[in-house]
Amino acid sequence: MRIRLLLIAASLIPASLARADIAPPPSLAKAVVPSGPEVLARLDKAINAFKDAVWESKLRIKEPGGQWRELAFTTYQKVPGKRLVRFTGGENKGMNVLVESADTVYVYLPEFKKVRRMGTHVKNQNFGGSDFSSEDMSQTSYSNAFDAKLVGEDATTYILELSAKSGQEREFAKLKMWVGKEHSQATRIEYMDASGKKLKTEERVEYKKDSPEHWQPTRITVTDHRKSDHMSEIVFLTSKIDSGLPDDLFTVRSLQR
Amino acid sequence: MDRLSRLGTGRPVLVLCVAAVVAIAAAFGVSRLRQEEDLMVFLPSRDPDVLRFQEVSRRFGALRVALIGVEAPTGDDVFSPELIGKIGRASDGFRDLIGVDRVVSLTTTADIVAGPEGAEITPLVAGPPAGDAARAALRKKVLSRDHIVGNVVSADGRATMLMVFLSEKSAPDPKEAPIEERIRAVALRELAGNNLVFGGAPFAARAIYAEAQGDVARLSPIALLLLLGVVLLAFRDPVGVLLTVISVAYSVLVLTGVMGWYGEHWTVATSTLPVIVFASGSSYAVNVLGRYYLVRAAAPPGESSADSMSAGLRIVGPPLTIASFTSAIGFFSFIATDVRPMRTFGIACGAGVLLCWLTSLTIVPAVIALWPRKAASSVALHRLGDGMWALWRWAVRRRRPVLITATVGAALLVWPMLKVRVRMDPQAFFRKGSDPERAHRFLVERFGGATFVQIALRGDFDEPAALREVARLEAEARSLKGVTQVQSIVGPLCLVSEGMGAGGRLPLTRGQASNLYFFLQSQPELRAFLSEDRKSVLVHVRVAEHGLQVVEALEAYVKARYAAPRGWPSREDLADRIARLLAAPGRPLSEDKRVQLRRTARVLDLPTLNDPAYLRECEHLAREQLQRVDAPALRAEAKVAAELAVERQSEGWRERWRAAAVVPEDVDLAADSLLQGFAEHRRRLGIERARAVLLEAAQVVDPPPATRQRLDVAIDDLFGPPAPVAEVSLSAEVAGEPVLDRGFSRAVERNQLRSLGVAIVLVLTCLLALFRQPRLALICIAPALLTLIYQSGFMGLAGVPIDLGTSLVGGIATGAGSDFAIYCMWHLRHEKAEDVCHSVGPVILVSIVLVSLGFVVLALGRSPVMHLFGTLAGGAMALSALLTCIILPAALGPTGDPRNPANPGNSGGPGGRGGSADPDHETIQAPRGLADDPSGVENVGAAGTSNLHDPG
Repeated sequence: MRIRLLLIAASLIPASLARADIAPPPSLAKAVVPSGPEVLARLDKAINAFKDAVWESKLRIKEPGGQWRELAFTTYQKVPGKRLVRFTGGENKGMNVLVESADTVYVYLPEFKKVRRMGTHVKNQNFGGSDFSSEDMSQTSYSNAFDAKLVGEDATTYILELSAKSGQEREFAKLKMWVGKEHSQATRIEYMDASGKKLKTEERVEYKKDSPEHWQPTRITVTDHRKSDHMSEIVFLTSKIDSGLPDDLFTVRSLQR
Repeated sequence: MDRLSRLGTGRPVLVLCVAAVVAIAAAFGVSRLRQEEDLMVFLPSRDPDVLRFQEVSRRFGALRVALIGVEAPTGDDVFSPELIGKIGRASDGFRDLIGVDRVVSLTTTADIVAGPEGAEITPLVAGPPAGDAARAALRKKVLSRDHIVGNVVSADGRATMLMVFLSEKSAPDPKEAPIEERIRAVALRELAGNNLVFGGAPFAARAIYAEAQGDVARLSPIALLLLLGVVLLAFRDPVGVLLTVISVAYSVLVLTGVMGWYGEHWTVATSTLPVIVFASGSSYAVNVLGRYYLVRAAAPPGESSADSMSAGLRIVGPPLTIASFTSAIGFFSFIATDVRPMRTFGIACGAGVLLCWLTSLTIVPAVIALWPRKAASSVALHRLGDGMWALWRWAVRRRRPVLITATVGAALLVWPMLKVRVRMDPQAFFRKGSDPERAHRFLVERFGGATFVQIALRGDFDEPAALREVARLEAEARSLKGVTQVQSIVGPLCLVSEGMGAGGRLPLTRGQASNLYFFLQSQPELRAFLSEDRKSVLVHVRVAEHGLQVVEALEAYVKARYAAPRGWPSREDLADRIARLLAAPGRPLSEDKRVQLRRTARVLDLPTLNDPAYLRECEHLAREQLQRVDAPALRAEAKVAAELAVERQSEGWRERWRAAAVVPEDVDLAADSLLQGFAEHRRRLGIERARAVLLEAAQVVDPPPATRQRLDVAIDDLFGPPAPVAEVSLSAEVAGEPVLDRGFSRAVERNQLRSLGVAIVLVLTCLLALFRQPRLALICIAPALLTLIYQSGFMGLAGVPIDLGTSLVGGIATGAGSDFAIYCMWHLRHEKAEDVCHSVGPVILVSIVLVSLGFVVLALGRSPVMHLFGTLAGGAMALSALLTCIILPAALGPTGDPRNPANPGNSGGPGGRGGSADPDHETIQAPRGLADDPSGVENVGAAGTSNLHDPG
């Protein structure tokens, strides 16, 4: 489960943030206000317009004592949906994870010299003791899960209210999302329960253009208000977009190397 | 003192104006009072047991857990689709509450299921079961999980527990209801229709405070009515009654206002303050008014009320002052305790008493000076005086028997007094039917106990040897009498190890431990077992009974066990662990069986490499490996030969496999994995064979599956680590509720002795300063001390333990219980005994009734602690007064205080109408009341004229 989450942490979030490749069309620039679903569709497109990438990242979790715990890993991703995570430092150095599908993950345990297939179906679990949940880490498309309503706009941002579609069992029933007009990426997401009470806040900051069509946040910070504003963040150290990763990187055999 | 007395009568307007300003300021202070809802503030701050409990609880977040117990409808279990759905919704609802860290329930717990290819991590309960077959399968699955049964679900499947862990730092949001109320609201909404119980510290604290507040709200009017009734009956003056009540209410207002300004919190102890101050402080105004009425009745025509009040104050002021100080000392003696809220409580009560005294000497005279009152008719009082005088004479006539009986009685009760147990049983705080009591009963009946002993181990728990020590400790705990369940990190580690295909064993190397922890540490429920740095683990031992014996046994075990670094366990040690696993709690295996187990364990070993069963298994494994999806690709022409060599483990199989591979490096990884598999299968085969032999040696047939699993883990250790493991240094602290209760009990005992000692010394000092004669001081304090001995002795005989509340009674009884003797003794120095009985005696008796009833009112409280405290304190006051009326005359003898020239026997003294010095040959007239015989009043006045106006 955690493996899957780690993988998602290393790959999906960057993926969701990395391909905000669309500049606002001229019509938008002329103050034609798009609908909520349109803004969300643009965001989804940014998330999924992706070929392959490599990210070096670290997850930082603020411990109760105030010190930060760190997990370092490299994520390799190839669309559609192939991901490999290699732990690059710390006590689990050498542990590798391959995600074949949302429910099937292979894990290589160096100390047992074993590859094990892991089926993970547990929701609402946090990721490595962080404040990232499996659901908000694995979000690759919002349109298929949420109905969107445009509730505000200023010079740089659209504000959407997202409600879980009927039949969708979500950890958070409602979201409030600030979408930057420049890169069509979320800059802030507030996660709420059905009554609209804010439970968690995610901020994606310091977007940088790392390719002609690509914006990426340097840092994603999550604050869980239910846990006395406990905080975690993912820091993206390097990214390499569309470098042409080989297919055989994403095999069980490769996992063991 | 005299100046203070004159202030009220001389400048009444000024006094009342100042009082009004102070009252307004106090009212603002009251609005600043904040309620303290954390029961932990009542823990003694310096007791090592308590400190250990707090530290361990903080480290593992065990203090702030709200428990919601759910019972299935009669004849049903918790696996019905409807109830599973409800549990899921309730868990989600709890999780979304601000202030909730994590939720552990049937629907939030993950399950790891090992398969041939890998592990499935799934929710233990994915959702409501569809159909009867799915429901039966779900029940079977859940009840087969050893770490779930007895923890999240009861063994019979009829009850389940939802545990809501609260954030440690969550500050209450003033806009929101308290977190426990929001949890309760979610539970009542989502789990409606089921029998629910609410337990754990948050609900217990809420219940105690709600109960105490309810009691105070209910009892304060009763105390007030009693006060009104008694005073009205005695004085027959409504204004006087009102004045008495207002003087005490004013004191309570000022006191709470000062507490508010000072930033003190309103605790469950201080919530009883109004009733206690009413009980202990109302007697001062009563005494002042009582004396005023006496003086007023005897006053010459034309004397103003202010003058009468001044005259009365001159008489009553000094004993009142001493009495108020001794009463206050009784309360102030709590500053010797190391429980901060009790110190605050003692200081507040003592200050309340002094405020009542001050009010009675200033505000009461000021009101009387401004609104003069006539002498009240006191028809009832002379009878009290008659009765008191009769009792006095009786005691004097039988002084020897009285003194001997009192002494012998005290001597006889000393032994039972020393046997009084101090017991801080949390359950004693809760009345039957309250939330915590129901939760306790639910846990005992459904989950095998509500009490946990916890052992916090410190060390490096990545080290295999350290983990074996945890397993050894588990086995030790399981074998103890009264233990119903033991949980630690060992179970989840073995479960994940099994899921990862490494066998259900503890990790053999540091690296393996690290890999397994990686999977475990994202499970929120694991935080109760393992600290984030993995340097500390907590073993939870559930006990149905004998909690303290379990604690002591475990303390002895860890002290001996961890005195030196521990390495991999020896075979003898493992045999001992196995013997404990196979024994029933409290019934160890016989010595013969243990010897047999040790002998067997010494010779057990892994199967040889030529063992046919092992070789068959290797071949099977090799075949599996070659067919795996990640098997190295082989060149077609060499494939068959290479595979055959691998399957049969022929000479040079590894090289031949490598030579046939398309990518030879891939074979290295696969061969290592295969060799690892061979080693694991060899161990597994060894375990199966060893298990049968060991069970035969212990003469145990078909142990339960959970015991078998633990046995297998121990047997696996018999075969040793693949490589030498490091020794580890461990330290352990035994904590948990029984340890807390022990520390708390010890602290209560210590605090009681301290506060009692302080009270006795200070009261005696005051009495010596007042009377300048040790004999008189001792006689004065004797009734209070005898009261203590009698009451404690009877508590010992009746088996009533001392708790936090009853421990206060000693100090209060010493201080307030001496008051009556002080009043009597003071007046005896200036008046004849008969006159004292008739003049101030009734007033003293009214005071006694007021004080006793004030405390007895608390006995009507629903909270058991308050009930016992009120009964004992009220009883102590009444007994102390009764003993004063008997011991004082008996001790002073027929002559009374020799220093009083007015006393009978001191011939020539003024007012010597009292009678003979020898009460057996009494010639005195029957005592006369004050109201029905005005001459009596005059006589009293005559007898005490000089005293009334010149007490010195």
